[in-house]
Amino acid sequence: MSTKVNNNEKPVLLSVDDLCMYFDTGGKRVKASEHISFDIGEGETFGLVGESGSGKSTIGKCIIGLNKATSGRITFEGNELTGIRSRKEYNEKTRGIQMIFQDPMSSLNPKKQAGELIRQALLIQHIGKSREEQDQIVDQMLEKVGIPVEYRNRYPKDFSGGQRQRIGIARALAVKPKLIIADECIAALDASVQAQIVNMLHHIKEETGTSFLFISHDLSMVRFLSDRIGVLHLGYLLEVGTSEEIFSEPLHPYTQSLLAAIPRMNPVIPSDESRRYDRSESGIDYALGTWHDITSTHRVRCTDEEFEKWTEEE
Amino acid sequence: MSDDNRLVIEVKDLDISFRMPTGDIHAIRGVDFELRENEVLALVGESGCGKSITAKTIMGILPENAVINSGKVIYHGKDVEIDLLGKKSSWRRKNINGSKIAMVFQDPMTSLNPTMTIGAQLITSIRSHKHSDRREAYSRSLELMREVGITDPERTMRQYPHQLSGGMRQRIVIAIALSCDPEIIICDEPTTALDVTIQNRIIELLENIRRARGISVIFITHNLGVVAKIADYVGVMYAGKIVEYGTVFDIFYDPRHPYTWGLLSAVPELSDDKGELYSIPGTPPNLAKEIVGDAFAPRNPYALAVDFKAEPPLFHVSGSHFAATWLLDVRAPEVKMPDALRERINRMKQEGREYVNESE
Repeated sequence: MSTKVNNNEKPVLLSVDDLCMYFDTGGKRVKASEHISFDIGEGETFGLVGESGSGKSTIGKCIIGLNKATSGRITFEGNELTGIRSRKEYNEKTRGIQMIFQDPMSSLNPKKQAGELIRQALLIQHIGKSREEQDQIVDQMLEKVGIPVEYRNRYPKDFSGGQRQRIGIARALAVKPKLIIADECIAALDASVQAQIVNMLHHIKEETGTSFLFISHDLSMVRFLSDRIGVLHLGYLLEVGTSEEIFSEPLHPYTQSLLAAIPRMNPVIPSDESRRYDRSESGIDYALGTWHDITSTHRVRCTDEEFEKWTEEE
Repeated sequence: MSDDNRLVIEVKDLDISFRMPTGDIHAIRGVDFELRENEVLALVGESGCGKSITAKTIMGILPENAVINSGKVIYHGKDVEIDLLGKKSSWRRKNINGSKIAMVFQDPMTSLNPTMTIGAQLITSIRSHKHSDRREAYSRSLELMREVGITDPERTMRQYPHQLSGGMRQRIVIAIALSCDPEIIICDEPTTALDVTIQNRIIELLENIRRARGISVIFITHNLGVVAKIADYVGVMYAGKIVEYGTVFDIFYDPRHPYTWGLLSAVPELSDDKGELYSIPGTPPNLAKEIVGDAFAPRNPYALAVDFKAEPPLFHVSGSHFAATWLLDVRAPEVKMPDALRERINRMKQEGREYVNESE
């Protein structure tokens, strides 16, 4: 396997190429993802932002195999995932991917104790030769996510929302994944607890070198965790760049409107009205757009004319 | 924004417990505030601090295991004064809820009936409070929908909730809340389930409605960015109490309670370098246990010895601004807010001055 390098100079771990995901619902076709292409390098965190219905979760589900992509290619560790027919083979190839979900209450079995929940992940992936060895890993994981080891025998209901999410993260980490897909994993938590979880994910990332696909609608959190960010709207990926580029030099009007919409913590300053965006009024047709490079890491999906106009304005 | 405005709601010394099989939970431990005409009061705090329960008490929709230990909720009408807690809930539903005080909840999908068209729900709501025929109610519904910014109201009348987007649904809920011309609207996290862009529009809508109709709003949220945009007054709640209260400028430019310092510090700054995000250490106290001293003391890096023994009273900072922390006692050592926060507030003030100068 040749080590392909992405434009952020990291060896590519996951690449999504021209992914389309359509759902057929009673004669009506819902186009959830349209020609999505991006990649995630080793140790890199890629943030996907967009409003609800923009197709953020669909992409995550396509990668892990919960949705079967309509067309396009998904490659993980050099293996092509799209086209694999058997569930067994898919599971084998995606062993290095783990997922953390939004609602920890519904993603943890309420009848299992915290330690057991984590140990189950080890059992499924045949990690640890003996019960003792597995228990040791479980304790290490609990410690890593800041849950006292004595709480190992408690049930999900006995924990707070933030603690439950920590257990979900411990379970994902236990099998030493290469890539973690975190789908709105902090959306259901309080602001101060969000900060605790985000700080923890940040440490885990630095310590273990795990790659993350961080899916969220909260731009300020995405900015904090991500090396690069992709902006989604109505199923199209509109702009990709490093966190710096997206936040300080956004080019697409939609990205600009998203940034302007973040409420500023200042009672004197109203929100920026000039950055309002309505796609039907703007006259932008996403389907006509192609990728235009602004820098080696920053690109935007638009037509040639739009690109010329937007870059001139800057 | 002034004290000359007519008083509309007064909450006095509210104290509520929940009976649980495992023992009582003391959820509200003495809440006092006033709401005046044409003002927005924001209640902020972490989940479980009692902000929603306060709202539910005003509406008279507390769960059955709630026990009101003491307190008054006084509604000041044009020429009447009623203690709502002394009235039966059937009386309140008939005379107060909807027509005087309306409520908007967090999730519009659960506050609308999925089996009824939008039109039917609006018309039902109008006709249940006002004597009007269907035709009148229909045209009133169209008017309300235009007021909340729905562009094609005739079409929307025939649609079901699931056919609308989250933002549109919340607009409908607001239209229903407005349908009986209430004097007060209580919004419980109305934008939390929405995207940032939609959130902004809903806040603008509420602001416009307040201006046009001159109504009062109690706005419950945990998002301080939203509070800065909409509130005139802010009550910061912690463990069933208001620990700091003041104008929006008092709270954002001159916060005094260490908990408010923590909340403000925890808001991520967009211009920040990637350091560590600030988070308040620890978790809120268990309200099933008796709280001795200041409930925030165990999480408070500035806690004094007295904080663990005696509960701080409300100290006045100015006529409109007070905080319940022993740090404001004359005997307390001088403690300043964290440097990072002070620098940030100075930047906010500077930005504010620049903005005001530019727009002049």
